[in-house]
Amino acid sequence: MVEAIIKEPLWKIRLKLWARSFKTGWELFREKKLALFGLSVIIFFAIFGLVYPLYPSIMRAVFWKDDPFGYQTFAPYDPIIGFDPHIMNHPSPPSLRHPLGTDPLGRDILSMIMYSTPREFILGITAALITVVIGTIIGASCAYYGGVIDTFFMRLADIVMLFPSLALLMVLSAFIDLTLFRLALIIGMLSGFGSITLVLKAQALTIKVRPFIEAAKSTGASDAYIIFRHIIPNILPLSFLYMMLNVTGAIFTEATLSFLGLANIRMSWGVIIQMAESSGYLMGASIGTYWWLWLPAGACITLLCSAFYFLGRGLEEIVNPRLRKR
Amino acid sequence: MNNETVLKIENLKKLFPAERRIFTRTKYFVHAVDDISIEIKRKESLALVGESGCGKTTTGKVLVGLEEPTEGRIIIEQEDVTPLLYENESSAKRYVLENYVERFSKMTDEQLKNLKGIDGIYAERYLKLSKDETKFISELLENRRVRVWQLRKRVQMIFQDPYESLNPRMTIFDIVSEPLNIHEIGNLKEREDKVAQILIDVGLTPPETFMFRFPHELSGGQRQRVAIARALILNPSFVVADEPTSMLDVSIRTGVMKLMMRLADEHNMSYLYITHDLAVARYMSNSIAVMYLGKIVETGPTEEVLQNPLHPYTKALLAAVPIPDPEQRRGEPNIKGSVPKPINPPKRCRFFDRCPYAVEYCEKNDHPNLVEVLPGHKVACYVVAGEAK
Repeated sequence: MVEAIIKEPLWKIRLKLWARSFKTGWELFREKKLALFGLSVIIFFAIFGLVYPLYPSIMRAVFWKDDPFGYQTFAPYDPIIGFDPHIMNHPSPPSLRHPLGTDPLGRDILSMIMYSTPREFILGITAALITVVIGTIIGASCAYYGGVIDTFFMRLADIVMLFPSLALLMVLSAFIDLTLFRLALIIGMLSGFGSITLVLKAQALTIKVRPFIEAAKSTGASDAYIIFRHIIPNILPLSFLYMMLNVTGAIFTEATLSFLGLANIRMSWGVIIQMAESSGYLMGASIGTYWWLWLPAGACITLLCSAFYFLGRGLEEIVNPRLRKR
Repeated sequence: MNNETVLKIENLKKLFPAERRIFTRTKYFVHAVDDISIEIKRKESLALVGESGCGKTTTGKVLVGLEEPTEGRIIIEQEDVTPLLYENESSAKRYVLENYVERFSKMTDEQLKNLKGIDGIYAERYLKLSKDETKFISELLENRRVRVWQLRKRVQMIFQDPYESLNPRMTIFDIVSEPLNIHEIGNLKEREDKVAQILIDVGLTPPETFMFRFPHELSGGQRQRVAIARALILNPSFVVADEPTSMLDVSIRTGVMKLMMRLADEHNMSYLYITHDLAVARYMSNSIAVMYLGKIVETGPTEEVLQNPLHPYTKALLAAVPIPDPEQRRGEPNIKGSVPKPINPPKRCRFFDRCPYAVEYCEKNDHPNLVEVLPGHKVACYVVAGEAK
């Protein structure tokens, strides 16, 4: 018998292997300028959202030293109930006290945007995670079992893809209180049963016919073992990619619903624009005059969505070697 | 002990439906494997030779449970494992009913006692249960799931393409220890030692440098060694090797073949060696079975068959082997055409269309049975057997 040949514990070796494959992936990723841009925008927004608690205290130390009473009473940097008593006319244009101005109710726009950022992340990533978990498991099982299961989920995917999901969400908003988490759940489920199942099933089919599946079967592996140990690890890079692209969709849908005033979300980028619209500042010449009401929030939506999209495209080239240039 | 039969296939048939019908019965079948019988003794190996599409691989797949047999009986180490090869319980039950119960119920006690071989063993069990049919069936199908699982331990397969038969996302350790993982053998430490031991056995030394690499970091020969290690880690009594060397470079072929022979000796196992290469068959096997369109046309000890081929198809196969001598001209193979479609073949000798010896008799009668022409050397040909002139 061999004396213990492996000196290190197994998890340590696995960690090392993982780090190594991450490194090679990073080398490829680094060459894609657009993907790097996406990643840096995402990191910027993450930091932007995380430093939100510092913002009011910095502003207080700089501008509200002489008026602690006003700061305590009106909470001028609260994103929901805040009001600045020093300014006569709201909305006020950007100033030193309010770098992005205030909205018609006298709330600080920058603080609203910062407050919303982590919520956008949570919504997008939760929805995408649900989508990918559903899509991966159903896609892999459809490919593996075929037959009735396959037909059922593929026809379901066709129906979901044909159905206008925004219209469905509008109708649903009449019945359900669409809070942030519920919205994430519904968006996740809707896209999970949709096109992602088709794509992942197609990928899983190419894995299913490879001989290592037969090798595992001939050793006595169960169906669940083959799906979870062989098929899913092989389609996981693709599902990860789709997760990135799905974040975009989720944030976009949320912004649309908030803009239409159908979601029960207290504050988000969509709600900021809706506020401007419902109080009539987006009409006629006002749209140019009161630009700070809609431009920052709109830019944030566009930037974050495109950042996730670019990141996804960059990852696509790592995942799919056929797209690589060399 | 050495003469013990490890594998016995009796009249194995595998038909694939050639069309899909919903309301009527399927009429057309691909006769992939049509009524073949094979016997392999411990530590010996049998080469199954034939051209592409003749049913060699299907035979191997039936043995490891990747395909269901349509008919026939498979006996591994004195146990009828056919009921375990069916996917669902009802087909297994039907098999037991058709093959044992119906036959046994017509026989007298005297006849049952006189049965030999595997039939005798089962007849004894049948008598012990005082001919209670339901009890007999339930005893044969008892713990079927568990027994199917145990059977997988005893029969393993080595696949043709080492580039495809290893999961690219798993390390060598994961791949080789997968059978242990599936069969829940040993804890992590024991598995590590076992994997290291088997990697040394197959010549991947030192094992710690190979264990945590991925398949794409190894060469073809090394990968096939990994595949062999994976098949051997459960100590099977019988391995189906599906052209394991055909994808390898000629320079490493012999190394892998020598390794397989050494391991067969060390681990007390037998091979069913599926190949289309007669030279490989000669090197690897004690006996040989030549397959043509789902039928075995000639079988016998390897040297005997290759030195003295009797069936016209075997002769043509041998004539196609290149001779490493530029001076020597080799004769044109005297068979013509290509393999006919195996969908519902007509009732005549399967080789009739291409046979240089064919006479009218061959067309009028069904495919000939294997006849022992020389001791141990069987041929399925009317002309060679002297039945037709």
